[in-house]
Amino acid sequence: MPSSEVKQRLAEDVAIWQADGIIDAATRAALRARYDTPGFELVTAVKYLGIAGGALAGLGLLGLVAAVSESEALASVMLAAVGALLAWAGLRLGRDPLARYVHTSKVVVALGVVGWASGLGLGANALPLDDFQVSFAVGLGVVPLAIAVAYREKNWFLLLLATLALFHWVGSWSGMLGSSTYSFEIQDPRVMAVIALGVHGFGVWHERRLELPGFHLVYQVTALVYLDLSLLILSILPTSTAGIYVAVLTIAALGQIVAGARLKSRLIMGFGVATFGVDLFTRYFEHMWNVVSLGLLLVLGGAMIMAFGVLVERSCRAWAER
Amino acid sequence: MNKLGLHRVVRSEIDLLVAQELLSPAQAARVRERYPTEPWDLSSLARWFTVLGAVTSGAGLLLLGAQMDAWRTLLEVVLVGAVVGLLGLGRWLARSRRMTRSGAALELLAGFALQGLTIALATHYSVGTKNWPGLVGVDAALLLALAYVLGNRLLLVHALVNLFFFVGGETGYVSGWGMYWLGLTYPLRFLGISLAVLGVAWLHGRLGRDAWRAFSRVYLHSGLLGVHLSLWFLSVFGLLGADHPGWSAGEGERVAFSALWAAASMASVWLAGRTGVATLRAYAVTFFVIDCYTFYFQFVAARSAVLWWLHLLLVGGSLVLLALRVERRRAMMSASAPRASG
Repeated sequence: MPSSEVKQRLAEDVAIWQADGIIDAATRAALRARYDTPGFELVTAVKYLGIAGGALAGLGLLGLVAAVSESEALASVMLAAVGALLAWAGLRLGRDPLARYVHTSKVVVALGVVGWASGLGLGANALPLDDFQVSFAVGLGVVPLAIAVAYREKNWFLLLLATLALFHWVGSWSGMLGSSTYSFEIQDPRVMAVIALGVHGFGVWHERRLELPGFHLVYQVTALVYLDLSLLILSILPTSTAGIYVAVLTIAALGQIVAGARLKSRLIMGFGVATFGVDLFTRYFEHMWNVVSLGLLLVLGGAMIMAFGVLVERSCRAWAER
Repeated sequence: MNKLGLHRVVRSEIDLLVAQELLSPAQAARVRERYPTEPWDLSSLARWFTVLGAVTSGAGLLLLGAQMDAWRTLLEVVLVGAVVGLLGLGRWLARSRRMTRSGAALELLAGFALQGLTIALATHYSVGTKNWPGLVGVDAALLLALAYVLGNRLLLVHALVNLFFFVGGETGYVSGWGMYWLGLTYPLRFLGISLAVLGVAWLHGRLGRDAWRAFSRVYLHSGLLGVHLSLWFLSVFGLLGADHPGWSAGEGERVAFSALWAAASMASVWLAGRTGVATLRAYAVTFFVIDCYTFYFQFVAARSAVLWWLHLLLVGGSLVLLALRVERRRAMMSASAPRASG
């Protein structure tokens, strides 16, 4: 019988085979039984209960930071201590010899790291430092430590938090302005794009060389988000260089589709397709006043891309029939 | 296991399924294509380049149909020719050359040309009603009919996008501001329509011709996206949405919709486990993260003075403690079960 990883993949894919009209319901039921899909068991409930609780309590910690920020020194010591305690407790739970807390221990560790980071942030804010020094000090005190703990404990969720923190540390910011406007900014998109490319390369290497489930996905997903967003921002502002970066963004999107085909990665290919879609959407609304030239450019450019796709499929069929 | 290794194992499993007569050789050939072991995944490359090319060209055709003022009659004749020619070429490639992906993409482009034609005709022979949503509705109906006649999922996606705009969806990008926007008039109406679309997905999965059964996944994605987007809008604007400038939804109303959204996500995760449809879980997890993010900025960051954070710490902390206890009990029960049976 195939390994659990293969069985899990097939158990999920047979639903898509049926939805795509390849197999009927009876075959799907037979295949589901064969791969013994676990369904919604207690372990799934526990996992999501823990994650939901962790998310809410994490928000509570952030709310606490907002509430006590008027007495920063005291609050920072308190928060850092609570965070360290929670992280220590989570690590202890994770090492339970009877493996009774496999899922929830990870949530507790992640909560501890959020508390630790909040405490450091408040403490640095209380010192006579400027914003740059504060963010540098907090990043230095949190990111390497969180990555080290994530590897030691094989906790991909903590690695995700650490990687997001890393990109925020490099210089990104997001938030909700007013009641319905979400905003996202990157301080220096050129630097961010280079770092994101490096992190993505590390993620690809990680997938081939190291057997740590989920870790390579964390690197690849976060890096592609920041790479594509950096290039998108550069394709809009500053206007003096936007034209160059429109070309870079389009090439990067098509390049991700090609790389996805080479590495057989649906993830990379999906990012390429989505980025190309956003690029097209933006250019359409940016230049729609310039009707004839943009319309013709899109018709001809699209026809060229399509012709390449047709040639690829023709080669594909020719090889299959050999 | 890396992807190449995984695909090799899956392919050998597919061969075994054929040997055991669980899959026919034709079914196996279609499934095997999804797990490439060759140096390049050429079929995915062909699919995405043909689709993206068709969408890009289609956007150009729409723009020309809507905005070109000169040579209107010539444009209409060209678009009629494009519709007929692309449909014929698409059918020929799919049937005679077995290039199904290129054929489907050409039919999609024919759909865009058809929409460009209706827009050009409506502009040329306008009677001054300015009922553009009505025209989008006509396009949605035409494309839907074309999708069913040709059995083409790409055309179905195009039809559903038009339906989204017909029932009140709006989107765009504000040049110079770097701002993308999305609007839904009456989000509750969208919620109802999206639930109906999910019903259509279920029906297609159970009934209908093989070609139409493949439409089930398109309806599923559209329905799930609609459900989550409408709940997102309800959690931000309340029941009446942003269409009533004088209406300001109370905090309790928005909290209730945020909770309903979270409950819908959890129910989707449960349903994913029951049915094995992973798409349900993917949407649920993605939108649950957005729900939490929105909730934080709407209620926690803005209301820290009234101890919202304390409520969250208590509720979240209690859930984590509950999960700890349940997991511990479960582990102890599974440890004692073999002993009892032995």
